[in-house]
Amino acid sequence: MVCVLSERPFDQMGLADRVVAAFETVHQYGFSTEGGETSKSAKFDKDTNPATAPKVLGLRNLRREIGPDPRLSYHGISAHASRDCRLRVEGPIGLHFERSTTAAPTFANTQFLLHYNLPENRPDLEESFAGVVLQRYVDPAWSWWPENPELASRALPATWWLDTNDLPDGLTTLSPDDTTAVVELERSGGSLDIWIEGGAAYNDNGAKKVALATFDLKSEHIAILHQFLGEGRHAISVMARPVKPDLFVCGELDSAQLVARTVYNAGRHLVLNDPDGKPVAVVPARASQSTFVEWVRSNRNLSEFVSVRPGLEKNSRVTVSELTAEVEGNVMRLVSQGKYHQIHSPVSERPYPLNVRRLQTAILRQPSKAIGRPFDLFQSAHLLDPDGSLRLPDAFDPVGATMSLAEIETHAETLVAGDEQLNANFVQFTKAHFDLFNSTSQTEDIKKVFRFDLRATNRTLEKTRS
Amino acid sequence: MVVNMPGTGNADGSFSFTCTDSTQHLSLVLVTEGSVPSYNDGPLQYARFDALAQATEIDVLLEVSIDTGDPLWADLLLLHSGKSIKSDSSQPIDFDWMFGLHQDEADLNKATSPETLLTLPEAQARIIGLSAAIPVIQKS
Repeated sequence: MVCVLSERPFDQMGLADRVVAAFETVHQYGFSTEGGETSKSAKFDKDTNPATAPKVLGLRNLRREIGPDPRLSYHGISAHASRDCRLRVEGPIGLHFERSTTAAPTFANTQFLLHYNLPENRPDLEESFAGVVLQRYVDPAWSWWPENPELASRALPATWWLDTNDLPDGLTTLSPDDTTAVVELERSGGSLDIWIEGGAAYNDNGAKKVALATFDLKSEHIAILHQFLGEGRHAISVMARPVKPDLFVCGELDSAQLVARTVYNAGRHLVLNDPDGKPVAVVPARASQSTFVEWVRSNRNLSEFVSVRPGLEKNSRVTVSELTAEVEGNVMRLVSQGKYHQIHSPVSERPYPLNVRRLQTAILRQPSKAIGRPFDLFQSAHLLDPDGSLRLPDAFDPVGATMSLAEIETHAETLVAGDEQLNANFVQFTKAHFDLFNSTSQTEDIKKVFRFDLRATNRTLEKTRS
Repeated sequence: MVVNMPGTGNADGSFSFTCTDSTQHLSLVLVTEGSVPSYNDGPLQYARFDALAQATEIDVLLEVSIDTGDPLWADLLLLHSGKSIKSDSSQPIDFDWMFGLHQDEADLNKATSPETLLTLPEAQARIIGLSAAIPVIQKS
C-alpha cells in the first residue's frame, strides 16, 4: 500500500518530522446481558434475572478496523485478533514530476510505503478491507525543548511522550484525580497491557475496562504519545519500535510505528502515577490529530499458494520461489523438495460455499530464438486440471521454458444436495442457474462447450468457523 | 435446459458424479471423477466436467442440480465457449472468457465506441494477478 502526501518530505518539522500509520481503532458495541449488582446497568433495570433483564448497549471491545472481504469469507476476525494487525511505514520517499534531465527537481510530493504486518496464522486476511489513519508527530529524540520550570512540576504538558522502558512492574495509571484511572499501563514480567476505562471510552459502560493493545516487551520498546484535544477529550497513541530491527526485511528500521490510537473523555488535568503513586516524568512532544479514515482493500499475495496434498488432511502454504514445474512425458506438475503440489488459491480452500471461484491458469513462456538479449515469449495459457497437473501441448519444448500462475476469478453458484429435509431447508440452493443471455454474442450464440468446475464436500457448515 | 448430476455410491464410501441432460442437447464427458467421501469433515474435492454441445439450439438459461443420497454442498462454476475445445488442459485457455468475444475490429475508434461496446458479451472471468516465473525442468 502506498500513501502520497501533497507536501515535501519532512515538510513540517524538519528531520524530526515523522508520519506513522495504523489501522483505525474503533469501538465494538454489544448488548450487555449482565444483570448483576456489579453492573452499572442493574441500576437502570430492576429485573436482575439475566434471562429476562433488558439488555443495555455497552462497549464490548476496542478493535482495529480490518476484516476479510465479505465476498470471500463468512466470518470476520475477533477483536483480539484484529488488535495484532499492524501497519509498518517505510519512507518518506520524495516524488517529483519533472523530466529526468532536470538538474534540481522539486520534490513536491512525499510517498510512504505502508506494509501490512499481520499475525502469521491469519491467511484469511490476505484479501481484506481495512481503515487506515495517519498521524504526524515530532520525534522527541530529534527535538530539543527549552528549559521550562512548568515541566518540573506535576502537571503534564498538553502533549507528551512516555517511554515505557523505565516503568516499573505493576499498574501505572493515568487519572483525572488520584482515585479513578482512565488509562492503565499494566507491566508484568515481559509484557505490557494498555487498558482504557470503559466509562472514559463510552459513557454507560459501568466499570469494565477494554484492552487497547498488548505487547511482548522482549521484542519491542513501547512509547505512549498522549494529546489533550480540548473539551475534556484526550487522544492516546501507542507506538512500538523493534528491539532488534530486521534490516534484511525491506525498510524495517528502529523507528517507532503507530500501533493504536483512540480518543477518550476525561477531565482537563490528568495525573500519571507509577505503581507506588509517584508521578512519572514525561517528555513534552508535539503531534497532529489523526487523519480521517482511508478505506483500502488489500490484494491477493501471489507469491504464496495453498498446497493440497492428496492423503494429507492439513493443507500447507507453498511459496512460488520454492516451486519448480517438472515435465514428465507430456504432463507438467508443480514440485518442491521432491513432492507434488496441488496448487489452489486460498479462496478455493474456504470451507464454505462462495459465489466466486478461483482457478489457476498456467502461462507458459519459452525463450526467444532470436539473437540478442534473451527474453521469454508467451507461448500458451492453460487452465490447470483439478488435480494440479497440466497436459502439455505437443509443441511445447521444456528446455529453458518458464511458467507463471495466473489466478482468475469466476462467478460460482452454490448447490446443496442431500436428503429431503436438507433440500427443504435450502430450497433456493438445490438448483444452480446460469444465465447465458448476457454473455451471448449477437453474432455467435452457439455454445459448443460448457465447462463446469465443481468444488464439493460434505463438511458441515457449523465447523467452518476458523 | 436442465443438467442433472446424479451421484452414485461407491463401495469405498465415496460417490461419483455423472452428468445427464434431459433435452439431449448436450453429451457430457466426465473428465475428472469428483468423489466426496461420505464422512463428515471430509476434505474439499475438486472436479471438472466438460459438456460438449451437439445441437445448435440451446436455451439461454442453464439449470444444474446434483442428486446424491448423502448431504453435500458445492459451488459450481460454468465457463462456456463458442470454440470447440478439447476436454483436458492441453487445450489453451479461451481468453474470450475474460475479455469477451473478439470482434475482428481493426478500427480502434469504432471498436471502443459505445455502440460496439454495448454489443460485447459479459465477461465470464477476471484476472486476479500473476505470480513470479517458475522454472520448468525436464524430469530425467
